[in-house]
Amino acid sequence: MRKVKPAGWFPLLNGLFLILFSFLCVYPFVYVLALSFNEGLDAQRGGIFFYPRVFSLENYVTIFKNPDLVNSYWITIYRVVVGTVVSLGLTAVTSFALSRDTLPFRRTFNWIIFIPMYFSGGLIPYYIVLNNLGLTNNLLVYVVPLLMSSFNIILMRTFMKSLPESLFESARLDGASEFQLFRRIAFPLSGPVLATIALFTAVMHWNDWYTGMVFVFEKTLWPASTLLLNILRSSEIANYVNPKMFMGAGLARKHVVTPESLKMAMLITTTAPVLVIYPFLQRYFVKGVMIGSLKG
Amino acid sequence: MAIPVKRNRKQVVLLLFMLPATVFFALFAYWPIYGMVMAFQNFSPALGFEKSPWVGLENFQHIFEMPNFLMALRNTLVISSLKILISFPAAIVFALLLNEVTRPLFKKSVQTISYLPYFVSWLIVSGLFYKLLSLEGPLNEVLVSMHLVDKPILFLSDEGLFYPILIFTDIWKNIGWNSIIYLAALAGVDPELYEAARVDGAGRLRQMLHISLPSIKNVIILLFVLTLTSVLSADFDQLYTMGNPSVRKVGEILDTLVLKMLQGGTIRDYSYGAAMSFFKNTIGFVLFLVANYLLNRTQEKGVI
Repeated sequence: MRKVKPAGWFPLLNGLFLILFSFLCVYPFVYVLALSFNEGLDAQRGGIFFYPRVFSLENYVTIFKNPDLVNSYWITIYRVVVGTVVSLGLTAVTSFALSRDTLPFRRTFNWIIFIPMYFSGGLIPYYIVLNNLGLTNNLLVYVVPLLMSSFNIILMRTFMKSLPESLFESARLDGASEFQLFRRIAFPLSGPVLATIALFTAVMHWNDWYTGMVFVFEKTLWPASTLLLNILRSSEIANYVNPKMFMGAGLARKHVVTPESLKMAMLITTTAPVLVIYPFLQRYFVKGVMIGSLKG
Repeated sequence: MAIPVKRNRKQVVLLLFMLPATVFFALFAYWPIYGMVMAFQNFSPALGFEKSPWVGLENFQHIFEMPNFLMALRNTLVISSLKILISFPAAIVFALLLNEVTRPLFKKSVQTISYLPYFVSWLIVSGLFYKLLSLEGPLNEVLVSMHLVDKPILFLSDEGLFYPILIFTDIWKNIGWNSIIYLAALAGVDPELYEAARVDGAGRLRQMLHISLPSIKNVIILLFVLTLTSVLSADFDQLYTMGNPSVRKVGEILDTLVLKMLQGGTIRDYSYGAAMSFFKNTIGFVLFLVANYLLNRTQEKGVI
């Protein structure tokens, strides 16, 4: 921190610019949030900028009443939970082995894991392989091919390598096996890096629309993100709006859901969890990025 | 003799620990890499990578005669270059400006807010901007009411506006994240340097240009060279979600075209698509190796 008394026009202008910048970062979310809580037909008149004009929860109620949409959120939750937990365990085990000097063929293993970070077979061979393995159109495709990432392994390995060797040494003298060294020392001491990887993996799973779009053809097997992609790109949303609510009964009901207003609510429900947890990520990820950018 | 036996057992345990990763990378990284042979085959799913007939370089000849491929290649290069020219320096400028803020709370708040868009997917970002830029969206409403335009603009269907929108949203989403490393480097600059400059009468702007900027030069060079190596991937997620049929001529990139070869094509297109990926990934990898070699030579700070 430099202590300089603010002088001249520069600090003021800079501050104003950064405030404007922050506003621009947040505004798109505010706008869509306002629309999602606004009554559908009213929103079509325009003129909503910061907050809803005719407040309504109907858009969200429609989402949570629609079995197809609810189902897609369950698929998302399944892959976030299972994907993150299994992935974390396997990454930890692998990273531990790589961090030990006693691992045979260590250099070879390091290369095996390093190369895929910068070289891959491309989409079509990858697709053929997943198809051969029976993973296409299968709920396992959301978890299995994403279990490990070279980047995460290298990140955790670097961290475990930095743990003091004396800890392992004394445990070994007490007769601890390699497995115990992992379970009793390396794993519990890797808290910060485990948290970083868990949060990043969870966000990746929550956000991933690509896997469903390319490898799964049945809509009932899509996670919420892929369903949202489909809804945003086509006018299919009408199928999800209860026709009674949308058409005739609209006159009797005070609140009407339109395809557009429903899209807005879906955008928010598919974003909200990430926005809620990301400030907690902050604490870890700066460190994570720094470790990751060091030599492998 | 007891020690080697014990060590052997230990090594077996560690090798067992490596088993899941070995299987995983063999299946999901190296099998597809082996599958790249299909770029030299007339691939048929029934015959697989092993038995499909070889066609030499025919697939490559074919793709370089495809107008769509050449268009996608050109678009990819143009979009990447624009991002390198504009988004890349933008993150440096942002870090420098943020570094000038003396109030810790304000600085931290701006920083936290600036990371926000990084964590949402391009699907959401495109959804947000489609709504903001739509005919009845707030931007058009403001422009019309201020009489800056006669009638609402169809922003995302306009070929001329597509690249500016791509760059804007790219900066919007990534600038905070991309500035992290610069900010960390700036935090390590010796405060006495600024003190000395102030004594010599340098203002804030000159301190920024003559002290802050040169002190992060090495980080900038490292990241710049690494960015150059990804010149053939213009960000699939962004282009796929923001692209639409009316801007296809400027918005089709290599990765979106490969997806079309997979999803909308014939079996023959599988091999053409694989050839496109082969071309893209091999050049990318060679660029990476060259960059790493150069960085190791000049800075002793390569990635490998």
